[in-house]
Amino acid sequence: MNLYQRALASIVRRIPKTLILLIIVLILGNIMLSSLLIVQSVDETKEAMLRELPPIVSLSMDFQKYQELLEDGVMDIPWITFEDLENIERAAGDYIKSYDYSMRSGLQTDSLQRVEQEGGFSFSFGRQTFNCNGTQIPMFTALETGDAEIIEGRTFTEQELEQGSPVVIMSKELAAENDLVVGDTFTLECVISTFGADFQEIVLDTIYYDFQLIGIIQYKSLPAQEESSGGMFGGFDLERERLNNLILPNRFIRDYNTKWMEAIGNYYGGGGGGFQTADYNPLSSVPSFNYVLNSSEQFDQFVRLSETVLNNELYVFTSQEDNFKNVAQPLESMRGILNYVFYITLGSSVVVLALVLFAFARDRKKEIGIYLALGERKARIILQLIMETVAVGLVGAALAVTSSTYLASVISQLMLPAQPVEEAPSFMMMESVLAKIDYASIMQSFNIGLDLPTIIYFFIAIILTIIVAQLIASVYILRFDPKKIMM
Amino acid sequence: MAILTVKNLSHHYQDGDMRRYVLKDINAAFEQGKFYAILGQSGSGKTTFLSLLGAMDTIQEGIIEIAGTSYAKYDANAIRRNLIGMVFQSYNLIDYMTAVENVLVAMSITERELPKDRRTVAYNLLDYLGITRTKADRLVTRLSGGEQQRVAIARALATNVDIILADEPTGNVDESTETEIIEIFKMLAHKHNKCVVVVTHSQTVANEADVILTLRKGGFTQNE
Ligand SMILES: Nc1ncnc2c1ncn2[C@@H]1O[C@H](COP(=O)(O)OP(=O)(O)OP(=O)(O)O)[C@@H](O)[C@H]1O
Ligand SMILES: [Mg+2]
Repeated sequence: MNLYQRALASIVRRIPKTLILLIIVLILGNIMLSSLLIVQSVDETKEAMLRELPPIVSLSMDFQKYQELLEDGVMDIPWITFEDLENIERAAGDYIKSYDYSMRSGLQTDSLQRVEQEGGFSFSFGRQTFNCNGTQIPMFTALETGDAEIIEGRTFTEQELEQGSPVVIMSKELAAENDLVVGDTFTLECVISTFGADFQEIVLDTIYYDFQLIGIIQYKSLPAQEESSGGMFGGFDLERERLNNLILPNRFIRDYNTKWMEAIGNYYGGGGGGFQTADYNPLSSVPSFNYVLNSSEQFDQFVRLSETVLNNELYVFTSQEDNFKNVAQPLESMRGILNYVFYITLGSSVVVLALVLFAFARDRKKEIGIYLALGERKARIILQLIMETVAVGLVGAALAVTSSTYLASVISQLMLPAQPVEEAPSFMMMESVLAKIDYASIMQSFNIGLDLPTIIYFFIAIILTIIVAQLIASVYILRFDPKKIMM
Repeated sequence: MAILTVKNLSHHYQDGDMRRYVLKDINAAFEQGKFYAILGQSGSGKTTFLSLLGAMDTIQEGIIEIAGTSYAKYDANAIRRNLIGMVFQSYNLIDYMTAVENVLVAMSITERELPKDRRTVAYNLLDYLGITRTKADRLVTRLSGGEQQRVAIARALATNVDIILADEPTGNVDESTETEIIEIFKMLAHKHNKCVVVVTHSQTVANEADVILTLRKGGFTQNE
């Protein structure tokens, strides 16, 4: 009857105590492991979804802060400057794969036909209006994120981008609407106008551009016409409106906007009305500066380094991860709670098990007294007890592994709403180039599964808990006096 | 040559802040091959004395030597597992183990050289003490009191020590069993050259002993 045989005999011949211990470990183990599994599954879902997405950090204006500034009557809006961009590039360049931003403008013309949507609106005195989206690099953000794909023609050359050539990329829908094919040249008369005193249009200038269509793109995620009706603008869908975008070099838009500013500045007579061409920051029309990083694990470092050189409270960095967290709020809060539950259970397991094992040791006082009277070392007696409880604990933990996947999915079903609590649309989000992660797709990829590291972690946690509890309970055994017990 | 020598042994218990001496300046010697009986009134200190001999209690004053070496030089646990076998009034067997397993427990604890085939040795030892093979494989709770005490004696002998100490080993058994157990102790002393020290109330036991020591007022009177 060596130590192992003694431990084994105690386990298999004192069934009630073994069962009590087994059930306790099973209950605690189930709570611990299902919490762990849920925490791990949320992390896994997040990682998997972020892995699919390009690692983009977006520096964009905080719309609320902007409005506060306007309300406070601040005229000198702290737009991002070219110097800011250079500083960021210098500080965090190691993490940046590429970055792009889109200067914005609009065209009013009668020579191009819009892709109309139901309930669509056209303003500007009956002319067709088009958004002009600039780009800084050939692989512009929509291409980089996979949001759009060139199906015919090509993207811009560096030279075109540098010179601001009137070369255009448009959606296949817009091209079809106007019977345009790649290589076609078309002339647009672009009207620059303003309002008169009685809301009459005053045409300030008309510029004729000979545009060349160099590429045709197709948007991947485009809501169908029917689905989009009933949106926040009553049938008008900002995403579908992208079909009417003219994609142009930033340099072109910058020059065009400057002409606008000059025309308006001239009209209002230089100093008046706050239109000062010299003050005009071409970056003020840019909704967001999009940094594609080398890896999605670099979000934090990139943002930290960039923030050291950018002292601008109006702009904030947002990563795909922030975006995910925003939409996956119910998952994130469930993760938080269960992480907490895990540690609470771990802590109380030590107490519960120590009390139970203490009671068991009291019950075995005579047996332990016999070992002591026979000259057994106390350390070996404690080792025997540890072997017994660890063996039972391992069985309990193994059983918990089989049941806690089920328990975890029940818990997460109870804790997660079927629908997101509220989806807050904002202008910022609409303009965002970050992936539009939606709750339904998160829920679809969220599933509880066992993975080896979690199971190993769980086993280590439960075994350590049992050992610590047994050691605590064994303090009592150290005080056993064989003479008092035996004689 | 005495295997156990007791020199000026005194022992007290604390009663409040008063020391009450139970043993006072005891001198004694115990030899192998002899069967000793310790008599004395209840409360005279017999158990106290035996627990000191058995290294179950710490020596306060005086010396006990085993084969010339003071107990103070050993770890008490080591004395119990390697040098002495003890038998108690209330058998003190592990109740969820069989008779042979109880014997094997002692064999697994000692550091003494033992024959390889311990289980066979344990069966033979039990058989020698009147516990047949079938009974040896029974849980000890399903043995009679006398049988349990034989198992306890077998356990004390299993480590092949020279000294067997017993505190009222026949206190819980009937007269005929008592006689049988005394025979075992006599045989252990005379045939197997053990030093056997038995604390008893029983005159029958005392009559069979080679040496009778009577504890009175903290000291021994000896009749041979
Ligand atoms: N732990 C203790 N604390 C205080 N007093 C004790 C303790 N153990 C024993 N005594 C006292 O010491 C005295 C001797 O006790 P001991 O058990 O040695 O007597 P004994 O001769 O074995 O008696 P019995 O024949 O009844 O078994 C008794 O008066 C007892 O009350
Ligand atoms: Mg006594």
